[in-house]
Amino acid sequence: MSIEWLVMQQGERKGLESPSYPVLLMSRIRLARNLAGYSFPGWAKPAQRQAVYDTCKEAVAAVPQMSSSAHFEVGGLNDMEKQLLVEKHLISKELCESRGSSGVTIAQGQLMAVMINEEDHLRIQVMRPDLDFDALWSDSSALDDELEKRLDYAFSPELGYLTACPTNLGTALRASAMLHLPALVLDKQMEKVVRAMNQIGIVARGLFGEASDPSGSVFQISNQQTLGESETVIIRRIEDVIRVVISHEWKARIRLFQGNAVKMFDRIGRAYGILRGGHLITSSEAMNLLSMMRLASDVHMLPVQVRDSVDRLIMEMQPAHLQIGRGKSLAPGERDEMRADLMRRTFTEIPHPDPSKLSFVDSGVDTGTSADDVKPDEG
Amino acid sequence: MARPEQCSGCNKPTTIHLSQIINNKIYKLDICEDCPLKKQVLDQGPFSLSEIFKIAMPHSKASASMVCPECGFTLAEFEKRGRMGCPECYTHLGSSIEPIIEEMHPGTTHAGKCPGLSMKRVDLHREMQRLKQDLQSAVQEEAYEQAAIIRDRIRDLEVGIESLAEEKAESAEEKSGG
Ligand SMILES: [Zn+2]
Ligand SMILES: [Zn+2]
Repeated sequence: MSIEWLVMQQGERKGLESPSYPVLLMSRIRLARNLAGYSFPGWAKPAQRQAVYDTCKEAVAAVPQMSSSAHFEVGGLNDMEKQLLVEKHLISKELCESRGSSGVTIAQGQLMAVMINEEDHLRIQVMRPDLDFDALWSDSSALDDELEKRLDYAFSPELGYLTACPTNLGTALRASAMLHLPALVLDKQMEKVVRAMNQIGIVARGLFGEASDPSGSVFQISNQQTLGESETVIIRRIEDVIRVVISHEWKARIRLFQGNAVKMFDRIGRAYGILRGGHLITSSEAMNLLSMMRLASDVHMLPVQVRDSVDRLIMEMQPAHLQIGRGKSLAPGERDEMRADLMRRTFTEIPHPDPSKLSFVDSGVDTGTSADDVKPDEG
Repeated sequence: MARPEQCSGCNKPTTIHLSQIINNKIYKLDICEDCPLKKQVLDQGPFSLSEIFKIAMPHSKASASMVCPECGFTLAEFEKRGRMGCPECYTHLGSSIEPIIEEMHPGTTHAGKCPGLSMKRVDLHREMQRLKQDLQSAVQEEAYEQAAIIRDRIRDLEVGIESLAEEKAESAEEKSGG
């Protein structure tokens, strides 16, 4: 199976799913599992790693959910191909750096993947474009059941699923969502939000750029604790927290547009201008500009379909996607040029952001009359 | 109890002695003036694994040299990597990392999903190991009647393990076939 399979499926992945959602980019559940009687991948001798790899690979290939899938052995991929899978959130950087006998099986549609010999023998992950952890849990648990029929899991009644790192014991479940929080960042509220989440065992980290300066205002929010509570309790809490964060983000958006609408229109208009006219754009700058376009689409200054384009561009503008699309490796300067070309081509087709269309109808927040303060009468 | 003379972070002479109460347990930390650990401990920063390992790990030479008989992993190795060697490490070294587990999670007992067949199988294997040990000591003690009884139980258990393996294979086939 070739890497082209992934590139070709790119459109399909987006095509299959419902349209993109405001604030939310993706939600995901990951389960860690290990085989009884074998050392964890980080401690196993090469022969044992290989034995685990062969056993797991065969079991994964046999489950019905993976009847149409592709398997990639990490050792058989070049750096750019590995990077492509990382950019698609299908494998981790840790798997890329693994010592051999490791790989990933990716189901058709790329919303389900199983990593073999990452930190644990198996990492089952299921993704969705919307916020529905019940569905994610039911899909990941069903895949887990199928694997368990074919494999002997390491499990203890006291500690649950035994994992290489004690932080994952118990359910070994990590539920996460990628959220786009530009207003909370602009309004300087992120620190407060992050601190409040930490207190109940939920962590947030910037997904792109530096930890101190997350470009694009995209954050991954996930549970930190796995032992002592059931899966249902864990996912209920994180889903509640995510809904609260989303509603805070909307309130901050409304406040920002109410506080200084012209300043917000200006930010959005300038970002649009650069995307439509720029010739050299770094990936960090592009993230920040696209972030403004996603925001503009969420508040209806741009058509909602633009949000789909933005999400596609966030993926396609990353280094490996750009280079594989071009079929050769490019120097960073060349990448910036190609990235700008891609943006110009896309944004030529997209109309100018229209302040008169500003609307918070998707916020779920009762804006009352206050939203009309900034919204010109549609009459 | 005498205070340790060496820093928990870097083995220099200690000058700072801290105790912290987490979940009703007292953790004592003895560090030196210019320890890299000091900043981490004094800043109440976000949850960091290595800090908590360092704070919560009981510091005795005896425990650091404890070895998992299954995979040869030691507690000293765990302090370095923050990862265990194999699933059995939790049986053999688990008591030493209990404070860490308590500190990290809201509970210490699994409350979620359990794998059905794997768990039954693990139980049977454990039972088998116990019986084999019993048999050995019975033979050593020349308690032959007792040994015969144990042998019968081992035979029954072998049948049980075999039928479980079949059950597992069947359920796998059933599912993938249908
Ligand atoms: Zn020190
Ligand atoms: Zn071990």
